[in-house]
Amino acid sequence: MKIFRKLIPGWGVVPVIIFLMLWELIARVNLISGHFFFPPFSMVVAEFYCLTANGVLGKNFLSSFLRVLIGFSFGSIAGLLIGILMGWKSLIDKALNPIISLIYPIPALGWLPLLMLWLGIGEILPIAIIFICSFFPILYNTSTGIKMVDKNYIRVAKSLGASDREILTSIVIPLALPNIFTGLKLESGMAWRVIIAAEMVAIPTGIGALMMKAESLMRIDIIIVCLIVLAAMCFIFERFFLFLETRFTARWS
Amino acid sequence: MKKLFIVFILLGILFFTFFGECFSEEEIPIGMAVEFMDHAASAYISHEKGWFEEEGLKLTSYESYVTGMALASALARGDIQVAYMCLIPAIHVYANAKVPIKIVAGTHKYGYGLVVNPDKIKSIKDLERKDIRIGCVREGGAVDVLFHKVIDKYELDKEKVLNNIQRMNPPKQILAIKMGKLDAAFLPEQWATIAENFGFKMLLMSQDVWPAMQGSVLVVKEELIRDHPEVVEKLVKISQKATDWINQNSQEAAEIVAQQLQEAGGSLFPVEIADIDTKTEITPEVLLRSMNRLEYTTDIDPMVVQETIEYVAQLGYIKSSFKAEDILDLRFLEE
Amino acid sequence: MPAIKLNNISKYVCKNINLEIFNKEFLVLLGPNGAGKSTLLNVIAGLIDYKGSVFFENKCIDKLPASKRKIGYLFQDLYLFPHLDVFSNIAYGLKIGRKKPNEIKYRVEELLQMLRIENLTHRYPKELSGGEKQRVALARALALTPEVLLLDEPLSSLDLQSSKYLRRELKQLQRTLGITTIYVTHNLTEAEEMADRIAIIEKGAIEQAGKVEEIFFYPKNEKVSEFIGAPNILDCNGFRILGKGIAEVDCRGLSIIIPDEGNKIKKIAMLPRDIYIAELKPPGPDVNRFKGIITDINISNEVVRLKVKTGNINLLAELPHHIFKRMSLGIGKEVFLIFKLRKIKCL
Repeated sequence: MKIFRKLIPGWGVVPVIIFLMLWELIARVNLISGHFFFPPFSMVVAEFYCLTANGVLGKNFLSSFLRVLIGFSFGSIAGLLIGILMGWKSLIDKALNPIISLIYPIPALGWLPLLMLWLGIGEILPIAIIFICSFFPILYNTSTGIKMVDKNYIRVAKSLGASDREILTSIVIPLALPNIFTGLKLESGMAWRVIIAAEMVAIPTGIGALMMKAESLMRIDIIIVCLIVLAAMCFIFERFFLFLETRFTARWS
Repeated sequence: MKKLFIVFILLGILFFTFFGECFSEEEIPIGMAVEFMDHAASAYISHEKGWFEEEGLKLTSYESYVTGMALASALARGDIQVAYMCLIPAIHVYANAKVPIKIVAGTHKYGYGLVVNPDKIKSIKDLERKDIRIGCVREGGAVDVLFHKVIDKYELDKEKVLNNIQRMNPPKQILAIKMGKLDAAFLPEQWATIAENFGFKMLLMSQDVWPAMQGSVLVVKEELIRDHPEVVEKLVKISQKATDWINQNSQEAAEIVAQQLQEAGGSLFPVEIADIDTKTEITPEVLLRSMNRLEYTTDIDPMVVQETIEYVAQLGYIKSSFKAEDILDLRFLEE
Repeated sequence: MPAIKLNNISKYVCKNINLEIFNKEFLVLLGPNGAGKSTLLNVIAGLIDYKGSVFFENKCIDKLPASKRKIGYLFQDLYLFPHLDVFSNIAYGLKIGRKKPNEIKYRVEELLQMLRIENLTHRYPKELSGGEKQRVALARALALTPEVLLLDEPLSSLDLQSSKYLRRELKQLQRTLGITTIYVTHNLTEAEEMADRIAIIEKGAIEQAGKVEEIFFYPKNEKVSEFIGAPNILDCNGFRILGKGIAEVDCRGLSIIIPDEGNKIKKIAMLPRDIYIAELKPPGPDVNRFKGIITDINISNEVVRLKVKTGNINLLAELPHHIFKRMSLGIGKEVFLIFKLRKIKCL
């Protein structure tokens, strides 16, 4: 019974294992014959090892990773700062909101043709795309979170002698954290999806570009490796912010 | 009641006449894919002259593809049993996508060239310069593999040259040349010749780099050979006939291919690119010049195929080399 | 501790309010919802703009911001900062005031002890019960040693038992600390139990301000009377001392036992809520128990008021909703009225 209980947290892995076994079986038995080659999971794993050993995966992964890191960091920080300003000061909100409302719905990849012409195809292009992808949603979530803080907490803090700045930093921003983290969690995964798409279309290096090369060579095993890397990175990034959210807000939120 | 009975009889006769006629010959569906290049001239000529129908071959589809890679994807995926495509994409289809195909004949040798802006590039070494922008198809394409041969042969700095490459398909490269956004382009024919219309000069041809390079080939799915070898025999025969005709009637061949490419291009491309290859650029004169740079022959040398396979494996485009006999089935050719 | 004076205060529903709160007194601001009670508190605290003037010890503090008014405010719904634990909530004002860490620690621990919540130090508000939250909120309000304490219906969300208990504690605390306190409520019982003085506010105007007895037994006008429930005032004659501190009077045919206060009594008064109603004859001695018939029932937000005729006297009785629901009372029903000796007021 004790052993049973110890296993319970790990049971989430079981469906995954079954899925992988089915994949291996279906591919080996060649159930989808005549059409596209469907590599077994073991072949994908072997290719993953090869790509890692020869440095191809590492190099392309690093390109994508750095772009996401830089673009997302700058986009988040800018989004947070302007979101706080817009949430806190109604004048700034009234001034910027109409413009933000117009630009926000444009999907990040929609900016690609314009940015390609303005910035050319260099490292700044993917970083700019990720910046845009992160900036608007985080700004929106932050501003909403700030506005949603019950005004009575502000009154309480005022009655206890806090200045506007102190209220903002010690009460309003902490209470807006759940909303802020929601934005960060969602956009961290989205940043990876966007960078892959941008690299597939326009940029010669990175995981997305590797996928396109694999597509032109019909190397489905490499494509699947890239997809797994993408899924893993989305998962890790989202989990990271979930961890931070839990750390900072679980006890009281 | 009697009248009704007679009507039924008449209908029945009509039915069997019509459908009986349809059922009289077993028709095998043949989906055909051809490259949008004068590499597939034999296909275009055969189609125009109705030689497929003459041999009783009913084409259920006849599609053009801008690049060999695009064609290869379609071959792997869809209802295409026959393809006129470059050798190297065919190798990828076989080795990477594991599609069961056989090469049953060649269509031509050579047919690729490096065109450059003569003001900016005087020699092959200039390709290494940082400010040079070189157009080339995506990795794995025939032109890309040839480009690697160029780098090897002329001992160019691989990293420098590859950094200068901008990957795009041939029509886009022509557009880019027109707009002054490329200084050099490695292109298959007819595109290389078209580029000369915009002031570019041919610096290298495939003959200079890779003697006896196999250009395009006639590819069929294994199941077609297995189930209908007579169809494959007819296809090879038609290809041979068309190839001989091209060599004997180069002027007329150029006119036919130009017209066929214009028709196909009108539906393939968006407006601004259609302009390039339709009425304005793909003229019989251009095609004649281009086709003279190819050697149209159905002969195919297994050793050259083997050499190609090994080189592609060396470049890492396929996981490992394999025997040329595994992909070749030249018995229809020898007959 | 300052006396507070409100001079012609106008804001929202409040129009030209004048009110004085004396030094160290526990003033209850009593009125129905929407009367302007919380508005007045916010004005005194400096949390909203207003017309008129507020004086602390005859000094006008209109220009003084909220942070400088030395006020402790316990808000309705408390608004404990959810992201801070109990210690940090209480310490918040002290940290803002840049007090030294050991000073903060000392003061917070003192308050935790005073309010008997030492065991809650590291808990978060969502982990506290209603009563515990009240105490923490009170500790937070007292942390900066305010000169005025404002309490906005602090017990409204508590159950009856907890509310009773905390009421007593609050009053005790206020006496010990001697802080001038303004307590807002709509609950008559709370007001009666806790107030030194009561100010009745209705529709933005102070209807009457005075000691508890004044308000309950000498309502100035109908509005006040209506709100508190007009007391039952009976003319008496035939005063007879029975000994042991009790006397007997005759009020229009009813023989009522009253506390003997040494004087001849001409009138007695009973608040409606001090007249108890029973469906069956209650056990015990037959003193101050009378039969009556219900002639009218008035159900309001707060209470259920019943007009009961006994003999030729019409009395007004009051029951809380939850007790009324448990009984099956209707117009024309015969009930028993009980006058509690201690609740009879001799006028």
